[in-house]
Amino acid sequence: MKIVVLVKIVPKQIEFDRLEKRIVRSKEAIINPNDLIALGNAIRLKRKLGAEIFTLTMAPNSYSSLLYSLYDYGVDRPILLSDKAFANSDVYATSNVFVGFLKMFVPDFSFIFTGAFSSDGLTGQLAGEIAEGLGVPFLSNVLKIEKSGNDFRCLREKESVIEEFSVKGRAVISFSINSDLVALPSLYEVYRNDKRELEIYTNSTINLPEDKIGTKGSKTIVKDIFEIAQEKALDLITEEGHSVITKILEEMKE
Amino acid sequence: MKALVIFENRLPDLEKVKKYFTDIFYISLTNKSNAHIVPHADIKTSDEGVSFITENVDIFNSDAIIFSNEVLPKEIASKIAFKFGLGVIAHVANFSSDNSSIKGVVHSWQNLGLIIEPIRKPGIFIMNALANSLNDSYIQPQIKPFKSDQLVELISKTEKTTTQEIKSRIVIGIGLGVSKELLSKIFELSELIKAPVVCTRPVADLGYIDRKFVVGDTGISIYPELYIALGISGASQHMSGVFAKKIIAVNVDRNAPIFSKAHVRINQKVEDVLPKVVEWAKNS
Repeated sequence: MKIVVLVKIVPKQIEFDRLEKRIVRSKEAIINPNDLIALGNAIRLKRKLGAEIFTLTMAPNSYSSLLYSLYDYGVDRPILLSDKAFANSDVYATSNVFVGFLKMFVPDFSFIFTGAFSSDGLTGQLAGEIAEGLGVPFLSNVLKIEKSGNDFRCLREKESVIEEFSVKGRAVISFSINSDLVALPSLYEVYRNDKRELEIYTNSTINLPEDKIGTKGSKTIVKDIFEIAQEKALDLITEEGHSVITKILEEMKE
Repeated sequence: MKALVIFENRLPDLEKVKKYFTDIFYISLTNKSNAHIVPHADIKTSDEGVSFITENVDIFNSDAIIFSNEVLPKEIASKIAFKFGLGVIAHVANFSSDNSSIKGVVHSWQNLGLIIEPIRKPGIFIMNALANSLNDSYIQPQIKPFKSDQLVELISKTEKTTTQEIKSRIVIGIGLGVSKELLSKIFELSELIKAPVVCTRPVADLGYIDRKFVVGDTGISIYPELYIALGISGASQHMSGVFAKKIIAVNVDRNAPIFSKAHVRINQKVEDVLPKVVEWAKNS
């Protein structure tokens, strides 16, 4: 059984450069926290069922050292997709990169696991787009996944209900931030006597056409970045605010 | 311009949608809602939703496809986006347009806004779901079929218990602007005025309040008459779960984004306001 966990490297800090009108991402980076939830669920299945865990990341080569640390969590094969051609990809173009790689190099995956969203992107759309590209079902907001006979059972959390699904076959699963499992480094994994290497692939190996990746492959453009103006700053209450609150609460009693 | 609006139980902000689109076609994912087309049975999975929409509607005969940001519509949005090579813009707070192109205005981290344009039509926009329902009585729903999902089967459905707890007229929200020392006063007020306490994600991550009381993108939604937001900056990730008739915001930062959403804007320290409200509640 092969489980591929998508892991994103995100900046530790994001700031807005008012002069240049652009978002400045700090050089210091971390593994997207939500992806550790996806990884935790994958490691759990590895321990129960003996799955082989891959991680797949699209990032500049400079973040390799962060990805080596994934061995300490129990990952079997961390993989980095790195190429200038992938830069400035939106969700659609990024999906093309992952789908292209997976079809070529891990066509026999059982599951693709992802976190709910990345801390720097927030869209939460990548998992569904990859599922469509691979022609498999997609379930989001999953709290838990368990084997049940020949199938897998997933608990999906919606706005006011929790649904249990039986998944027959492969799927892309994105995990809710409320899922209780977070991957942690394990002493056993740290001292595991394996040859540790990071597999790095460029577009010359994956061979995706230019119009599917990067800026040319993207389906959205950011036209402007601005600071949201405070329209009503002048009606701020700066003293005796408690009286305003108590008056409203009093009126609600009536 | 024409828009398809796709929702499960709650619609996006129709006031904003109607400002930019004169021709709106509503598609419900449940059999029970009012819409131009409804499915023969409730849609349960994203593949069922893709089948239902694409086999019954010509999506290219629209300028925009607007999905509410409920769990299932969002899943369907991402699948349709890839299937047809369409741009998808999430967390859309509003629209903007010039000539015939429509763009999404996204409220991002801190106080940042982004204007994002899909490169071709229709663009896919995911907007916050509100607690409204479609009251257009002239709509005669057509019931349409869809292919049942053979690979993913719904086994059971259970009501979440927290939604029972947050059906209160008044709710108090806590953000990072509230120090740990104030928590006991807040819970005291909560008890006195019978208002449950919710929080932002970072407050739950600090362990102050159980994660099940997080409101927003990664938590629950609340629909009180009054929301008292204490030390909450007003980031879209939290406010996307707040559907209150009236919002009182207390924040020491005069530039806090919440002041653009609040009806009552108190620019003071929470510790200067809260004890006097608690005192009043004890005596009233």
